[in-house]
Amino acid sequence: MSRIFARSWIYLGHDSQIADPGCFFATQIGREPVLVIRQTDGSIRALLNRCAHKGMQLCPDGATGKKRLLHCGYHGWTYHLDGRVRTVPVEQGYEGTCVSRGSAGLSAIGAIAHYRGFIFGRLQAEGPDLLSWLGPMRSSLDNFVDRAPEDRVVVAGGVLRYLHHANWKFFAENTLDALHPMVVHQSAVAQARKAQAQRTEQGLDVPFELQAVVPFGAPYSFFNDMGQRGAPFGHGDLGNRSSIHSGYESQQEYFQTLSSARGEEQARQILSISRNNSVLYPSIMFKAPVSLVRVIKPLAVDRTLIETWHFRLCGAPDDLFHRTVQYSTIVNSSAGAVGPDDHVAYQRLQRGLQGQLNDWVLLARYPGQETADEEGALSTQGTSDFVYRNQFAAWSEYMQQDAS
Amino acid sequence: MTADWQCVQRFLTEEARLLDTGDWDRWLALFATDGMYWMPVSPGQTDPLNHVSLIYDDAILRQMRCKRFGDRSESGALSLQPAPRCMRMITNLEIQTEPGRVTAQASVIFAQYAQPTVSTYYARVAWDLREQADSYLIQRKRVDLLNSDGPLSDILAYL
Repeated sequence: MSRIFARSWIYLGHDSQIADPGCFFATQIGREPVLVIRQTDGSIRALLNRCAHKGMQLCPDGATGKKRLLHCGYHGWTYHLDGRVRTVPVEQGYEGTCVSRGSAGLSAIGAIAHYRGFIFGRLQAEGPDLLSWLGPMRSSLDNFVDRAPEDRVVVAGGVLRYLHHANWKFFAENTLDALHPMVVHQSAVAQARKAQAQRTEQGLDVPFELQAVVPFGAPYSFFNDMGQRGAPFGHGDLGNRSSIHSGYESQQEYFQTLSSARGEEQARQILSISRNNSVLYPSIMFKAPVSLVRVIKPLAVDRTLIETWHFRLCGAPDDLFHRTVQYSTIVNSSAGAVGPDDHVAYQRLQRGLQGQLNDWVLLARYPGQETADEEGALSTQGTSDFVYRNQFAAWSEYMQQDAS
Repeated sequence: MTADWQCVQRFLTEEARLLDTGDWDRWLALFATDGMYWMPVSPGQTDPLNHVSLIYDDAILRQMRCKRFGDRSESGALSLQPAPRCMRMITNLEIQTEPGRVTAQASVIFAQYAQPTVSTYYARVAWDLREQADSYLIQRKRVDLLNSDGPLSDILAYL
């Protein structure tokens, strides 16, 4: 928490969640409860979500809404939206102390920045700026927004909150793991395939949920060919060449809308980028092709909250967002046909690695075969262990610096 | 207490028993072909298309899921080996009848034992039932978990 989550840019949320002045949401960076608030001048601030008085959290985790001022429900202190003290009940008695109206109240976190609507915060003030930190991953995030005909995405359609009983790193690794889907998800795939075959035989349409699940069972060669990239700070993409999302039935209406907004060639180019999973280490995994973001919130060494947020592409037909919703319901839900099997794997990894007599795990596949791409990422075949070596190189570097 | 109430009570107890014992084929047959099973995420959620759900299954997806639940082979799902054991308790049943149709509402407690943990879920459940011969067909079953929008761990069955 103090060596990695306090030092890195952490995904806080999206611009569209706090459209107007006073709009806020409560989240966390590592152990710190954080309030993200739209200011009256339109800027965004991230403040520690604890009263300056006795430290009570002002708004519970996950809270969202709109306020004119911030209020502590314990002793009634109030704050301006920018965190300055507004009123203190029975002020007399604080003369000669650091507390007075207008004085600093709620501390701002070290740094806040946003890129194309995605808001990131960092507890530590010093460190790389957001764009340098994103590095080659910018193109993955760009693709998320470029897919919107109006060049803007908005949060929509509710949040899934999936509590995992395992360390956060298993999730971060697994989303780039191209050698597990055909094994861990084979039962879901087998049944989805059967249903798909039946529907096709009867000349009936195939529900999108089946189209979403079937590619998880694609052969090793498919996952190897999709490629992977690793970038500085532990970031990575699985599927920089193709992905499990590449084969979906095309949506003509959407393609036409995107083409009229950006030109046909550009639209084709945007849709040809279909990165399976992109990880901005350590706090976010996103899927540009299905417009969703999964946020990693570590709670304890063996407990992690995974939130799935969904995005509507402005200017795109409703159909496209329906796919995002259908994908997430069948794959990412706590009651889904995919997520619970990954979760069992994480729990057993946690158990397996509790033992002390074997210090090693094997991340040796395809050593040293990466080549630099034009954006400065290292690229290699999809089933390489390079993406994990890259994550753990970042992990190791963060861990070896003195704790802040 | 009317005969209708007792009939619905008997029907829902039978449904719970089929789920408790994993008699998937007979459970699937309780639904109308265009019937839906819905477990929303947000309280009061009215839209399953523009808003994510925990489960939103038509007949095709119900069959896919039940086959997965029933797969006891080596390649069966990690999360379903060994098979979770479940128990459903239905209480506070109230019904409204119209000619040919019944709407039932109940509080349901669902316990799931997936080794080594027992998880308990609480829900308000609503069934839209169509009269069919001397029984009913489920037109829609809506399961509103008490904590549907909160952090949830695995739900490994239909409630």
